Amino acid sequence: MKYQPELPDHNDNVSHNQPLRAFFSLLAGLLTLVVAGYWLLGLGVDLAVDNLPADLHARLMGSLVDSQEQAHADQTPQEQQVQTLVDELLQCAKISYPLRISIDDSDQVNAYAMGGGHIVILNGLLKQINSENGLAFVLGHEIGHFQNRDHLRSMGRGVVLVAISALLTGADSGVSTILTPTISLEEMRFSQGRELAADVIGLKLLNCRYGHVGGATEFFENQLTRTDHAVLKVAHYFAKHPQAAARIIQIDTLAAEQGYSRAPPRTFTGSLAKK
Amino acid sequence: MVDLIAFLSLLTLGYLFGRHAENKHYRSIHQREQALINLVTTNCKRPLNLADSPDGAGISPGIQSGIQSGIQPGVESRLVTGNVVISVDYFKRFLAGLRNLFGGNMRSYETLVDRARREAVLRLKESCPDADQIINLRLETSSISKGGRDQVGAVEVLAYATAIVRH
Repeated sequence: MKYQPELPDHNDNVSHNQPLRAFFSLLAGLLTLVVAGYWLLGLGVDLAVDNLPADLHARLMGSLVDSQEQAHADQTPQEQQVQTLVDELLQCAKISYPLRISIDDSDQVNAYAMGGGHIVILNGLLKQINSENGLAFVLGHEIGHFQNRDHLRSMGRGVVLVAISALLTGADSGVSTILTPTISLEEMRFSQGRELAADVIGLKLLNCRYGHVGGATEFFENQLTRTDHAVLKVAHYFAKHPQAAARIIQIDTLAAEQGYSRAPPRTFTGSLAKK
Repeated sequence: MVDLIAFLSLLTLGYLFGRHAENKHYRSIHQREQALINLVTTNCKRPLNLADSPDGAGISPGIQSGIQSGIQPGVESRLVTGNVVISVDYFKRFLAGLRNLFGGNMRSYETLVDRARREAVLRLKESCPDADQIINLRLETSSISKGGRDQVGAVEVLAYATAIVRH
């Protein structure tokens, strides 16, 4: 056996695919698959929630109060006045269970609709709104969330999100770092869509109760003068709520389409009157 | 958002530095392999008869049988080893994670193991410059993982063989 020293011409032990190209194509493929899967499952959640029978929905939500009387128990005079407003609006709404109002002593300007038929209004918002119609629109918006079953929707989507992340973190933590912001973006856009839908219901309820929609945009106009020029446009894309300007435009367009009239809004009386 | 930016910067750094390190290592490997090419290395159990080899160095059949019986003076054999540990960069690890989902050749780890194997053999050869032949070459590979999640962080290759030295 003769020994012949020689090195091979090329290295056959290494594949020829380019790492950068492979990286981008694999990542793009994965992102597309996951976002498509998430979107499809979201669609499924929407279908399920829309077609749920009303009594099953009420049971799932675990209504906090069983009767109107319970809804009114232990409320301050201010809360009672707002509760009356809610009850009047509810007569026009398609909700079968009573809703309870609480006023929270916080300076933030906000209101929440919570699962179980509970609406919380923060004191900061009460101070900022000057007309009964303006407050009625905000309440109508929160009622709209209940009517559209938004809580159940976002719970369902939350389950989908957790399931997808759990599947992926099993595979590779680096992959889930890229996917989480992508899916969060989709969540924000979905949330913005739901807020606009709640605005539509709020407007309808306002018109039903007062016969006109004057004062509907009061809250958003206040927001406009305060914050919009300070904040980057981009931040709004990532926000849970749509821009105040966009919401005003939608309200005005809808009012024009439906032929709603406008009249001067009522000021507050009683315990809510401004000193 | 900050997480995403940090992650992308790590990826970019990993890619750039990793590519640079790999190219540098391959250049060094090629150069040293060329320099050490005349040191006969086989995985045969017995020494080769190199009497016919171009540079004239050789072991006669008498010496060969003497080595086997262990009584030939002036010729000794000893164990030589070469060891190396090489790590992947962040970009390669992420790419391997993607590959894990879709399947296919993991080029990033292929180059890693290839470099480690060749480096180990080169270090083995460099550890006995006075040897005539190296026989019975074997390789052992083991992975040094980061701990948790089955990710390969680094690979270790040990090359061991018998060097025949003629005085």
